[in-house]
Amino acid sequence: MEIFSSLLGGFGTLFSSPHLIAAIAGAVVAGMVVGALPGLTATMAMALFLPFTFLMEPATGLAVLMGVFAGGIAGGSVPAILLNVPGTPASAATLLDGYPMTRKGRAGEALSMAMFASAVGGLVSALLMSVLAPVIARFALNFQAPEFFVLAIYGLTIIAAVAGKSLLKGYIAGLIGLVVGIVGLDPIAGQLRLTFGSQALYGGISLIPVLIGVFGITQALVMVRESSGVTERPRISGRTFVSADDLRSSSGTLVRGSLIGSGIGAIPGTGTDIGAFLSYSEARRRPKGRIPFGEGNPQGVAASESANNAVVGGSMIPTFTLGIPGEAGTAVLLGGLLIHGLMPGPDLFTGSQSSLVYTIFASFIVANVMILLLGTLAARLFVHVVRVPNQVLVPVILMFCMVGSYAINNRIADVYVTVVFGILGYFMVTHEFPVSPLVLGLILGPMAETNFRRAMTITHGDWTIFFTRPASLVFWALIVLSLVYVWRSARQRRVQEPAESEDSPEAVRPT
Amino acid sequence: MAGDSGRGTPGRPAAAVRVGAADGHTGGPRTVPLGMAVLLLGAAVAIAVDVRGYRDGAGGEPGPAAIPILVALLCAVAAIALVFQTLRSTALPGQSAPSVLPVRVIATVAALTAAGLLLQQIGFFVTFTGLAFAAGLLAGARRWWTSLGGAVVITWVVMIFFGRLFAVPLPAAPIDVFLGG
Repeated sequence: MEIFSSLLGGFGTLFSSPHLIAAIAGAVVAGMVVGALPGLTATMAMALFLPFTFLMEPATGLAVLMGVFAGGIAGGSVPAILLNVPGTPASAATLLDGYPMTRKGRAGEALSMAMFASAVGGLVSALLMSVLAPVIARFALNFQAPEFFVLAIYGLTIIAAVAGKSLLKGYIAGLIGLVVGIVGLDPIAGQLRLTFGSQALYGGISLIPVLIGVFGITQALVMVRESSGVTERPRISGRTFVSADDLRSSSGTLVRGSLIGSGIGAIPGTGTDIGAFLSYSEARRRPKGRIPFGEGNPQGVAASESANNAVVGGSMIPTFTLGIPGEAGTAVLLGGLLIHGLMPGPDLFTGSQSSLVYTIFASFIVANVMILLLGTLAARLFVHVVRVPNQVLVPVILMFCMVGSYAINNRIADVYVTVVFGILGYFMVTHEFPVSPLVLGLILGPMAETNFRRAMTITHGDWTIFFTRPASLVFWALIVLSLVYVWRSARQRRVQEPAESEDSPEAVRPT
Repeated sequence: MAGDSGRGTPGRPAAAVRVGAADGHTGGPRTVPLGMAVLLLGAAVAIAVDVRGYRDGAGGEPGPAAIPILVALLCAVAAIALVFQTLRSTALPGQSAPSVLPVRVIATVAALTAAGLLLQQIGFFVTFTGLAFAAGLLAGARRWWTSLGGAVVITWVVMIFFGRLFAVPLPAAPIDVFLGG
């Protein structure tokens, strides 16, 4: 009951400030526009907007980030449906039935179904997040330094899960993040480390310029390298709204997709694409209706889009309650919390800042309602968005990156950090080193070290503290399970690779 | 993962856009992985040198050097593993070396670096108009004057938007002040 009254309080804050509602609407549209541009992702959109949210009130800034995140994932369905190109990896499953619908002249219905499903998935996950997050946070209030250390180690092991093709490359990216996290004053004793006499490095390397570099500048460089924009002129024909029959037949799929997505999102290291594909496979196992899957079945679109937006809400549960970002999007969101002085973790739900948390949850719910309204009404306009050429996008992205990294602290050193990490990220993504582990390493490394040393100080160097507390043992078990899963997946991949390598070239699939 | 990159084309999903379709070749498929191994070894050496000056823990607990030493060891091991993996990997017959640094990318990096260096000397408007103009051309703009016009407009809008609306103190030269920044 307390949770619902807190959530109502969050809605009260939102609806008593019209500028907050306007900011969420603008953020949803901006997120959808970026998501609709093939190849540009919700994560990149968030990284670009992140420094500017710092210039806003915390509630406004974080509401904007939520809107961009939800809108970006939903917008990714547009090029998947219109062009057979997933705007974001989250929408890779959407094109399987979305594009066939376009070819049959049902693009309007497909887009409408995608937006409806995104909104349903987002709303279900938002409600689950609002109910479960405070409960988990209350439980996590009992955690102390040893538990948080093991939890951070668990977070670091999931680097393997987000590593893409090569485990080694994923771990190397994570190690780079750990090294970067060491730079500056050490968190316990105040020892200067790896600064080499440079005063600019005393405070360490900030997370935000690194995020902007590896997601923004890197993307711009990849676009410059490819320099091939979209040339196809998609058309939206047929009805704009999904039929009542299709809605009725997809209702079960929508609910299942939303629940699958929420559950998958709550597990660190999974991500929107996994949630969408799992939901799609689940939908395929059931009676398919009059149109087979893969040939333009609206249920395929519903399954994928409900799940990928539900993952967003689910993934915020470990981020808000434990400070463990499961993937790149929530890592950027965590950066947003940090720049507003909010320390993710169970303490976030107690004290004066708890009302802000519920305002953030309420803004995510409102953002999903706006996806439904704005996405459905503006579907026809997206035809123009997907055709914006690289020569327009690249200068805009670069300028936002440079201005954004400067705006945080008005320091030119942050601009240099952004450029350096942008170049590093470019080399990484073009050689299948995923960049997300770098960000996770940079966030979780200092968290692991701080709690490790705190626990060691309390126990005067007694290592058994990490293996004698019940919650720590649960996390160690999760670590072992994750490693076994990763090892088995890698072995399966090695078996499959020879067959695949004969017909598929190396591909850019940076994560 | 949401942190994806790669702008695709119709019928060729972003996730399947092949690297190395651009012009100019500077380096082969092994250059960057080996370079990454060198970077890791360099980090390991730098940490090993730096930790010699750190204090010890006060009451028998690990001091500020403990985690950096562990990370340095992991870096060294990972670097060696990467070298082995890279040298063992063989390119498929007929596969050309992916282009690591097309001229356009080098020029974009140069433009970014120049912008970073010049920002405080010549102010926001001139620096970023130059950056946006160069980036537009490098990203494939066919007519230089449209790229220049676009760069001027975008820079001015960004300057007014962030300078006025968000009160970001952007580095200003006389022309910035003249244009309302």
